[in-house]
Amino acid sequence: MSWRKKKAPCLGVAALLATGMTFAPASHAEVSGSATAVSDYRFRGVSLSDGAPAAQADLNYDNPAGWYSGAFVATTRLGAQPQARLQWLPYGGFARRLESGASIDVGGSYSGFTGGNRLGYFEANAGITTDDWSFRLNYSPNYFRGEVRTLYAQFDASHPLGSTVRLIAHLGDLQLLSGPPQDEGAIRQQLDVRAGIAARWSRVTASLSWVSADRVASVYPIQSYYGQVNGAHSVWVVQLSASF
Amino acid sequence: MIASRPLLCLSLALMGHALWAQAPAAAQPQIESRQVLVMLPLAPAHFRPDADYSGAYDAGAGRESRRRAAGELARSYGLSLKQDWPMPALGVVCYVMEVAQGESVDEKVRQIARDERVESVQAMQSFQALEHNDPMFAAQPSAVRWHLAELHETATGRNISIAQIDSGVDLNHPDLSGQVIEASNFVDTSGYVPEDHGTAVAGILAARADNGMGIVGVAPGARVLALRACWQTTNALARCNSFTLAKALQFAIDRRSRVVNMSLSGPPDRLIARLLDVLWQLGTTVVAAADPAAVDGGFPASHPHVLAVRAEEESPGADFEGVDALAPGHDIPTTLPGARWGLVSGSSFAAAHVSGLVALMLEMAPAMGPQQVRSALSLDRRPVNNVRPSPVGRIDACAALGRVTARRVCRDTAATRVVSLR
Repeated sequence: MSWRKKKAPCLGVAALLATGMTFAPASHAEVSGSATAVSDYRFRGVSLSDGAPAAQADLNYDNPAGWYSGAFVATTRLGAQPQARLQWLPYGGFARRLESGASIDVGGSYSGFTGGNRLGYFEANAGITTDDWSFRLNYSPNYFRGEVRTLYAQFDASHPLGSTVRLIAHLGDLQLLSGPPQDEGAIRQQLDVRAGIAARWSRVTASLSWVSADRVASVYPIQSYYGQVNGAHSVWVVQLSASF
Repeated sequence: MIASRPLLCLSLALMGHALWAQAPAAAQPQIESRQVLVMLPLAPAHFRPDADYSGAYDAGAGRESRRRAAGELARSYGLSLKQDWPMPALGVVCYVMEVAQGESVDEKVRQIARDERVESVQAMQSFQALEHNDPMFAAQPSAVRWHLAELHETATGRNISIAQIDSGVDLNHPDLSGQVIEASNFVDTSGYVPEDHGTAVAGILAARADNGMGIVGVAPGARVLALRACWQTTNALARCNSFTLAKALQFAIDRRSRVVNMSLSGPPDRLIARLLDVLWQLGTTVVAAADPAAVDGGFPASHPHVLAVRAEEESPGADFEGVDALAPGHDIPTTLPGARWGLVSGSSFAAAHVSGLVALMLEMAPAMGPQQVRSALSLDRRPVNNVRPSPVGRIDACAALGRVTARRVCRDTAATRVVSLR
């Protein structure tokens, strides 16, 4: 195994640890995290785990002034890049609460994958979040290194059903703004939806949701050499998460 | 009209059975006298890559971290952590902590206030609804004084949301059927229960019109959010505390209620005052009952962003410091739990009248903010029965709605000399 192949996971772990270590927690800073098991890692409606279960973890730091940073890691199985077994995603930005109680934030993230591939990409995002819903725009100049500019708009909502259970919903729209793939028939827009129910007991959250994408945009590195896309476009996903 | 009072009284008594006596007893929360409210900063919601994250403050992300920090703080001061509630409108999470027996609550508050981890801290305070716990008086339909039927030819409060922060409302009462669009319990987790005070206030606010039974609310077209922040005690009075009221106010903020009715009173409270300021900034009109026994009308009536209302029948010889307006509040027929109706009296019910009237005004002029509502409310300072009522003045509902619509609303009222609130 070459040094290059080992570099990416080291960076991922470093990024994860950095959120808690490089910022000495201020007296009223907030450090939180979670560990998650999911039956299928659906990223914007597309399975990044080839329809198989995946493990995820995240760590988040909130500065009292509004700065935040964090890191997310997830196990992956990509048909076109079988070496990419781990996604690591450091992120950061600035958030501010409005007088109404809603929050607005701007930030960026870098999504990298292990395995010496060239999939890592940067994405800028801006959004508004209330206690019931959020709307966010995500722009990438080179989504999955596919030499395409993308804009992903997402609307997420939740509605409490008592103190333990809440309904969750998500609608996303990915637009390939420019660049390859130029092939005729290439899919340049993709919609994804997610609807389900989540329940929280103390620090444990469980959810069951139905996830669907109307198609798979050509930019995702999930097709095998023979062009086969594994996994159905619609699937029920079970998720179990523990926060700390 | 005078001759009809005993008959109406008797009929209401028959419908109401033993008034105030048979409402279900709600579980009373812990004694608050040893509790403090500790506010810790709440980080604003932002991007997180978790698939299930929707931004909800209570949905897991950060909650355990905040609880852990609150637990450490509680332990460092020898307190026990009881409950928590996010209040994003203030950028804080409010934690209820209990002081050990034998220790001074005031001293703990002073100590915690110096802790830089803490955004603010205060002692838990008690509030109570402003009603008379008396047997029924003779009935006098207050709607006559306000020409309610004529007001309803112009407006019914259609689609105006009124957050009623009170004890529980009987959601199955036939005169309230369909009038409550959302009911939430902020007192305990034992479920929403119907109680006397909340049901009575809801009836005055928005009892159904033209359903062939009972009464007509001041704003029968309004949508009521029945927020149970008070609970009924064994003597049929309704009590609340800083924490339950703050949770309900945060809910009213979340739902963007146009009107908030608080038929209750207690000592000044910093946390509640801050939430009232947020409501003011959002353009919500808050109406509160002024306590006749308190020099300044009590809190929240004494808050500058709150419309303080007292029963106009309490006028002669009374002290009106802190009172903005007078409204009907004596012998008011209204709904009671268990498909009953009865007579009620007190500033609580005067405040409910004004909240209903504000809903009518907002239907006709939705863009009005609380200051404009205050300016449009017209006061009639003419004496009644040669008794000058007060230096404050009764609300002239016809004139108030007429001012908003820029036309004469009531046909048979004499031209009144009215003044506006400040």
